Amino acid sequence: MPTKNNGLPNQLSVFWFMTRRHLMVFFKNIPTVIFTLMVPLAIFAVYILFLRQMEISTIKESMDQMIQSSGSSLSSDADAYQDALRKIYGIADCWMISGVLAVSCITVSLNTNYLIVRDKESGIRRDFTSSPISSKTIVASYFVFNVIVTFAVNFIVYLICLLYLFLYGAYMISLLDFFAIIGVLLLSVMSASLITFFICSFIHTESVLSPVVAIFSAAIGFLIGAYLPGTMAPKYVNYITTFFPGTYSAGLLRNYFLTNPIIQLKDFLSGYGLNDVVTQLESQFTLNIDFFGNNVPPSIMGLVIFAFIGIFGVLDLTIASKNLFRLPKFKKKKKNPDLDSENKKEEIQ
Amino acid sequence: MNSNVDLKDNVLIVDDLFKKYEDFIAVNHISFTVKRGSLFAFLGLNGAGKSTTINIIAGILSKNGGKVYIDGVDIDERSDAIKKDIGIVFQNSVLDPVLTPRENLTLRAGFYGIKGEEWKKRLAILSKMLELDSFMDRAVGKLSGGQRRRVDIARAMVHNPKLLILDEPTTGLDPQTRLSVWNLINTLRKQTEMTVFLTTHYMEEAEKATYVVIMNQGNIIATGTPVELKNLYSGDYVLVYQKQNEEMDQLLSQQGRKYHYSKDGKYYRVSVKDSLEAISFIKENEAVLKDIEVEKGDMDDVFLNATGVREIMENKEHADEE
Repeated sequence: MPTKNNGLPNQLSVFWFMTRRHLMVFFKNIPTVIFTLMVPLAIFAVYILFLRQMEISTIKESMDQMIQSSGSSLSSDADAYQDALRKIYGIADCWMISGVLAVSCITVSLNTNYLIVRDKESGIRRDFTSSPISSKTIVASYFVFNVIVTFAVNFIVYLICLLYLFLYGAYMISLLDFFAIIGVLLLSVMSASLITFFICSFIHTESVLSPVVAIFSAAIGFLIGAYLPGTMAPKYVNYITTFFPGTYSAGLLRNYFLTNPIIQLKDFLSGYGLNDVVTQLESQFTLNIDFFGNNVPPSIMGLVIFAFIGIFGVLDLTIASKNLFRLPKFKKKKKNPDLDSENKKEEIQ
Repeated sequence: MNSNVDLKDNVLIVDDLFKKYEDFIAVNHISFTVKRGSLFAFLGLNGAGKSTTINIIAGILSKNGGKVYIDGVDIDERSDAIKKDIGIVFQNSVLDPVLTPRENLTLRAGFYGIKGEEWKKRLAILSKMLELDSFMDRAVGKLSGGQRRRVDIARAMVHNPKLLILDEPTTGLDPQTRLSVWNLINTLRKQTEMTVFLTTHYMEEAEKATYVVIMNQGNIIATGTPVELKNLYSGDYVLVYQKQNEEMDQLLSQQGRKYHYSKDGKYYRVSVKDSLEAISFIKENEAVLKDIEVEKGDMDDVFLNATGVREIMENKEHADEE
């Protein structure tokens, strides 16, 4: 038996076995896999079926007004008018898709952590604790498992969103942006996994986890400013959103999704003397994050996500090494032994 | 306590172990040793502190005081490293129900750094020893109680531990499966010369152990081999079937016999030291005894007498009669 680390078996090898175990348990549970994938797709579907119509009618109305007031030649060119509308709707779609992906990094990650909680509740965690495995290895395996599942799900959702954009005929993002977005997704998934692990280290039963997941799923989209453009919310709400790492994920995703389409639209509309439309769109679907009056550029957004990864990585490892979540305190054993012997006496009688 | 002789002979030494939950004392300064190669039974009711003790030994729970040495190593000093010397079968299965025994065991073997050819050989041995072949590739969740218990035991033995701890291994199983699990544990111990430490609240199971510790409300109240314990805490009984009457009461009192009349109104239960004393009692009272039965003391007796439960019960019955 190869031993390192003060008599423990090689922890890297143990780590792979543990991660494999988590993945096997997760993927053998087909309904869980399907529902995990359904979470972000449901949000996307809700957007397409309900919110989108409302959003684009507002945009169309304000554009029509501007065309009329400026007397632009766009009104007389039906094809160009349709083209402009499609481009603008595409921007609205991309804005929303960025939000959906940012939200789904968090909700899928939290949902996937049901395994951590179930392991504690069913006593399987005791099996790990009684094996020669360091607590850091346990944390690392749960983290990597969560990152793999959450990233895989988000990657599939990303591809589905791109397929939607392609079928809708708006435009396609550049190859460079495609890979940049994958990079942002990976960063977002890592920060989300560390944060949801932190939350789940205080949850010991699935009956507690379920409402937590429900509350998070309902609130997180608004808390990270994913569903509604910041301009539509009061300033203090915008400030609150800056304390959630998801806000920066959404911000980065938007930058990669929208920068090029906005430039293209600008070029297109300036030919028709409609620069105001772009300006208005830019202010409505803002790419910026306002941190108490300071504009946060994309490079800082990336650094903020890294900072969250660092902070929660340290927190998770600290909790693990302090064994704070080793066992939910064996409350069953606290029952009164006197009562037990009384019961036994009655049985014998 | 911790001399060289102790370390050589004993695979487990527990010295002055203490554990409390807030204001409730679960384990109250207990000490015991487990001899290498023995079948050691920890006997007690639910809530006696058995599982708490086991969980401390296995490194799952922390303790508030005392020392535990496994194979001579202090668990405080190398809490993780000693885990490869212990295999533990928990009260409830801790395997993944969606995975098969083969997958469960292979993954768990990986926790001990056992893989590849080494694991293949080990799995073949375990599978043969515990007869797992017929259901090796069926999900654990779909196995019967007895089959699952066998896989649980295999899991605890993947790394060939020096000490196999079983926490109420037969609780919740039907009588036939209980017997087969017991036979299995005995066979395993004989084949592997592994030390087996188990907890149980079934008295008849403790009877098969080489050494027994009886625990009650966090304290050890009796220790010894089953024979020693029976000699100390139990004797034989002569059951005299007849209606309770004054003459009989008087006779027994005159002879200084300790007796008790059963609550269901069927017999006198007269305590005797052993079978010989039972014979002399019967001969002495041949004239008045019509329907009798001699009852051998068992671990139930030991337990009831050692814990004082029998005395409490009998006093309560007398009080009820009066």
